[in-house]
Amino acid sequence: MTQPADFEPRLVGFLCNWCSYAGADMTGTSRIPYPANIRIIRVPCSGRVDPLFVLKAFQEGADGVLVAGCHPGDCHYADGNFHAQRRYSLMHRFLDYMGIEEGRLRVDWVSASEGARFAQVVRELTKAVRDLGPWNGHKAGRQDGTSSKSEAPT
Amino acid sequence: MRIGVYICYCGSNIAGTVDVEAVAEYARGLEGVVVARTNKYTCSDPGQESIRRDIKELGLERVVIGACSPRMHERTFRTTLQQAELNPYFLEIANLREHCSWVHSHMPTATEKSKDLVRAAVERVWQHEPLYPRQVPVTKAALVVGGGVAGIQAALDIANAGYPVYLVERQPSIGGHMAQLDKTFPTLDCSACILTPKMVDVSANPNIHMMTYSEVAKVEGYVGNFRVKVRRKPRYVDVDKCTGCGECAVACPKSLPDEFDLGLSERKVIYRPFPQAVPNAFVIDKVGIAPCQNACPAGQHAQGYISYIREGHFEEALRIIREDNPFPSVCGRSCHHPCEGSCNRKLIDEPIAIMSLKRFVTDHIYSHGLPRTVEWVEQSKAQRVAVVGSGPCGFTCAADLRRMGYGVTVFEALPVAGGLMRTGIPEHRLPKGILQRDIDDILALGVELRLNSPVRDPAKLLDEGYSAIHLAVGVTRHTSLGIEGEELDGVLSAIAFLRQVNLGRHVQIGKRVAVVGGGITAVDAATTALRMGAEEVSLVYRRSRGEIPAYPWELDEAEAEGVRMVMNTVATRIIGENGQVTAMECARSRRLSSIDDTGKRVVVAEPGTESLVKVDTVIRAIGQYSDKSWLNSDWEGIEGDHKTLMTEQPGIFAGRGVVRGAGFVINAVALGHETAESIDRYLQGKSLPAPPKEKRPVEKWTREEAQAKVRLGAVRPEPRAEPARLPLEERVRTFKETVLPFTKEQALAEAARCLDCGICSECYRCVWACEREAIDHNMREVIKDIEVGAAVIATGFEMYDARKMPQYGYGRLPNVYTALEAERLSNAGGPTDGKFLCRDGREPEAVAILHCIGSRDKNHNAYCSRVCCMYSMKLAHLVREKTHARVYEFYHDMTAYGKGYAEFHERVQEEGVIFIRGKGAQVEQGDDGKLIVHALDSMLGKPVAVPVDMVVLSTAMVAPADADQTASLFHITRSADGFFMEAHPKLRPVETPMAGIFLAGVAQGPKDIPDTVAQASGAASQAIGLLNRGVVEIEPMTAEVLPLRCVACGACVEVCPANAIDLVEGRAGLVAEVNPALCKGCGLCVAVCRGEAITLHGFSDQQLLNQLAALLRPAEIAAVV
Repeated sequence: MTQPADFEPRLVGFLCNWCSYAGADMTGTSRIPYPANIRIIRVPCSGRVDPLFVLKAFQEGADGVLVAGCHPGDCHYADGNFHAQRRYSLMHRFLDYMGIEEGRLRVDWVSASEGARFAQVVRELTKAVRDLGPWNGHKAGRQDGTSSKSEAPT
Repeated sequence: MRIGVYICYCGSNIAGTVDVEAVAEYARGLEGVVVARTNKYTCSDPGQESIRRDIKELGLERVVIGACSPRMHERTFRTTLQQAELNPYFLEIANLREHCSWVHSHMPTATEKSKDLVRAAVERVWQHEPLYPRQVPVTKAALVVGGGVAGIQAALDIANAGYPVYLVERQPSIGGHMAQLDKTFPTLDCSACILTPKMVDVSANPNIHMMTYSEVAKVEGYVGNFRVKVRRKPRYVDVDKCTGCGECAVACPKSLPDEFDLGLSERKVIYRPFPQAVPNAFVIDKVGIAPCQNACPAGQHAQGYISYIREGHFEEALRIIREDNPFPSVCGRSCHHPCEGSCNRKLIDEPIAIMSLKRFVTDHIYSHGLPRTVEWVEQSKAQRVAVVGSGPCGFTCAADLRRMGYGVTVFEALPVAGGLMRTGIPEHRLPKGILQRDIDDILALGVELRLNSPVRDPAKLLDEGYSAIHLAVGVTRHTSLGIEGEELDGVLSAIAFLRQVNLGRHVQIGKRVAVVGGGITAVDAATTALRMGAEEVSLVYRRSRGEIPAYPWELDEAEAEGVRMVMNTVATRIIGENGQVTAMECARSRRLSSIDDTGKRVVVAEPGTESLVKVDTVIRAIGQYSDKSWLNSDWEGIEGDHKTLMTEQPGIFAGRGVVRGAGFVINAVALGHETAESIDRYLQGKSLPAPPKEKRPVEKWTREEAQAKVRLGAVRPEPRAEPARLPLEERVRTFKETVLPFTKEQALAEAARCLDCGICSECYRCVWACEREAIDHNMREVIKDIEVGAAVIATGFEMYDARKMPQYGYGRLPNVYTALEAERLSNAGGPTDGKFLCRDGREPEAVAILHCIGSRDKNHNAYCSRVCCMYSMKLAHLVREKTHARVYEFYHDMTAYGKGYAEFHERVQEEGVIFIRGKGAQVEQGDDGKLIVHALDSMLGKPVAVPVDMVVLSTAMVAPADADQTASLFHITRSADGFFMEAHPKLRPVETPMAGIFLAGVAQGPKDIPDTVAQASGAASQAIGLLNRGVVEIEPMTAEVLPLRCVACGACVEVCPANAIDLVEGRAGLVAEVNPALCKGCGLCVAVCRGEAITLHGFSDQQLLNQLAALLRPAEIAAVV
């Protein structure tokens, strides 16, 4: 797919408070740089992330979404991340059905001490989505053809 | 809506990359924002004051702060709002530092991102609602996990503040690693001398509940209210009774490597880790019961008596056998020995010949006239019990009851005792004299036997003064074949046939004998017929040889003697002339698809395949049932309960046969024990049935485990000893016992093959040696529930496994030791009584100490283990003090940073220790028996090779292998180094992100003893503070159901990890309801609710979606709005 040279993807990350959000904090504390494309939303648990949030993100113009939680077995609430894992392995197939490339949604585990790993995950997702190009599908469904997202420069 | 926005410079932390003023300016344009200010440090007093002033003067309703992570200062700013009388949850923090300025360097980009984050926070805060934290009381007790010096200190501090403490330690004694050390640096105090007083303080402190040999199994609840399950492993020694005298260890025959001495010495299976152990009590090392014991219906301690046989102590072996089985001579011959079938050894070569060993013990003792420890038991209880039937079940029950002190009389209808053991098992398998010696030993206990005494009416016995009756009547009748011609002369029942033969009565049998059936009785009948002169004996069985109930070795023997095996054949008719059998009609068998009550497919005759076989005797042996015809007709329907074994008539118990049908001798023995227990409970007025016994774990190996032991050389395959047999020609014409006993040499060799699966063999020597009767081999694991308000995790460390760095030769070169091993060598209580010795016992002339093994190496552990330099120098000092050896320290940086440490470094240098700056690269064996240490000396700039006699590897402290499990138990996290992560590396070093859980000692990261003790006191003071407050505030971020939307589908109930949701009857029918006291606020229920009927306060859909939408709207457009 060809995309504008200056295409900067908009990414949203849903990070669980106990592991991944703390891991992202650790990235900051350790001053490990990563692309500025991601905007982070703090949630109590990756299991809190309703699949609708992900769809909503794509609908509102996100080009990629990250859902990150504790490593399996480390969940602060015992098994919330397993619920997330099951939900999103299904979701990936559903996205594909909807015409949203699977690579736009990444579900991963980042612990509170994995600052470097969080940066790595963001770098990889940013690159993957940059390669996929802008997500414009959300405009197709709109009756008035308008978008809440700015047009990419022509 | 009136919103105030405060953007923090955080000095230059944020302002260095984000144009803070531009962000504030941008915020002023956002809807609802009435004021946007910047602060050098918003968290400072003036910063907070400006927020408070604005709330009051400008009437702010919501506050947004763009600053550091909310995980840092959310609590601070909530308090700020509260002080200005605004609900503290009307706050939202945009993380401009950790998530923006610190990770991005391009100012325009970082500024744009900051604007997005602030805009999202503003839009989110619109949706915030007032929330009110709940206050809950704190359980005023603490849990301390780990009994090393950290746990000891924390427990003492908390207990001294007046709160109960549960100190849980996995090992049998508290003390941890510090108890293993010799001296401590830099003061050279004796480690044990300064630690043991503290250990004693712990045991003496009434507030401390010590739980040694225990592990935390489960943690539930939340700060102030934890419910903890502690698994208390069975110690097999009553700590309260044990005086620590050590007689048991003297008696114990088996030694194992001593873990406390790191395998440099041995300890007994019953042991105390070290002399100053607290509690000062012994413990038995048992992993579970051996599979042989588990497989035996009567639970014979096979490993126990085999261990005695191995040592040549045959009397003790018999004593152990008799603990569970009064028929050792019988079961040494006639047993189906399921023990051998489950023997772990069969995974390696062949199972131990357990039955033959048992027989050897009895034969050896009787033939040598050795003492048998059979003693007359006085009748100590008034009640008398009548046992009807003198078979294995009846006699076992009688022996048990006699040992308990009851008067016991056994009634036998026949003129001889032994039941089916006498009448059913032929002489050539179980000689009568052998049976009689077991019976005599039972009678020697004081059991009375009345022969020729059939009992017709058991109730009469009750009238005669017996308090309980046991009907142990056996299975003495054979089912009929149900075919034509069964009434003919020459058709016998196997049981009747064997009985007549065994009683020495005359039985007429012909030349051609057919035995119909496939059980052991059928085989016995066939081999007996052969010995009685039959020329042709056939065993006719309707299924295949693989399905036959008799054991393969029995069939093989019978076949070798000349019995013809006729399989897959059904007897259809018996033909006679003048009332005498002349032939039997047989047919090929055919299987039907239907299943009979034994679970096998029904077999019928295949029509058209019938043929005639000439026979003159047919012996039927197809299933036995109990014969009740001898009882009065009133008693014919008598049945015992399967659990209590008591019949409907109180006081009358029914044993084998009447209750359970045919079985093996050992099953009858087991049932006899069970009946005796039931009768005892009945007579003592206790409830029936007895409470179920908990199963102990079985030490059953997998094939892989067994093979691994062979590979490691722990087990060598050796053939199984087989007892000799009579020559065939002698066998078939006489009733002499077919199988000969083991020779002593055979028995000793066979016993030596035993693998000691259960570690402790339960030989009971310790039990017999303990005068305090403190030892109980039947202890079970206990789960204890405790409730605490706070927990201190002090689980310590393990030493790095030096085998992972093979270049140093640890485990391969004998004189390469780890530092902890060197501590044990130096310790006066250690394996060498405090001498530094090489493995061959000579004193080293040169010792090399290699620093940083497993630490400061990114291939192993990147971190510095902090104590190794110091303990290395301490060991160097001790080696110099105790030997004349030259000592080389191979280091690459000297970490001597503590109080008095640098001075100690100086001192050791002055003492003549040679410091070589360069990490040891390799240790190899030199030609002259020396070890050669290779290193690059960075001072000289060239490689060196130093010959020494002993190498000490200064290994790193590493997180325990199961630290991950501890972390998930307590819901705490670990840092990249594997140790537990503190809430803040600088400011909250003893707290964890989980409120109420604190860290002490090396569990949090490598540290020396002073730091450990200081941190433990810190953790204790945090815990005391929490307990002192008495109440905790619980975050109000809990879920709530909107009842009108709820359709009671129950999805939320299923996913809730806290069991906080129930379906309850509401006004409009069933609805879900969240118990806010239990809800932890994870939001799983919200995500699964299909009807949007649940909301999570503080993280509602509306709040998150507002934030999401705002984040994705570009700044320019938003600014126009």
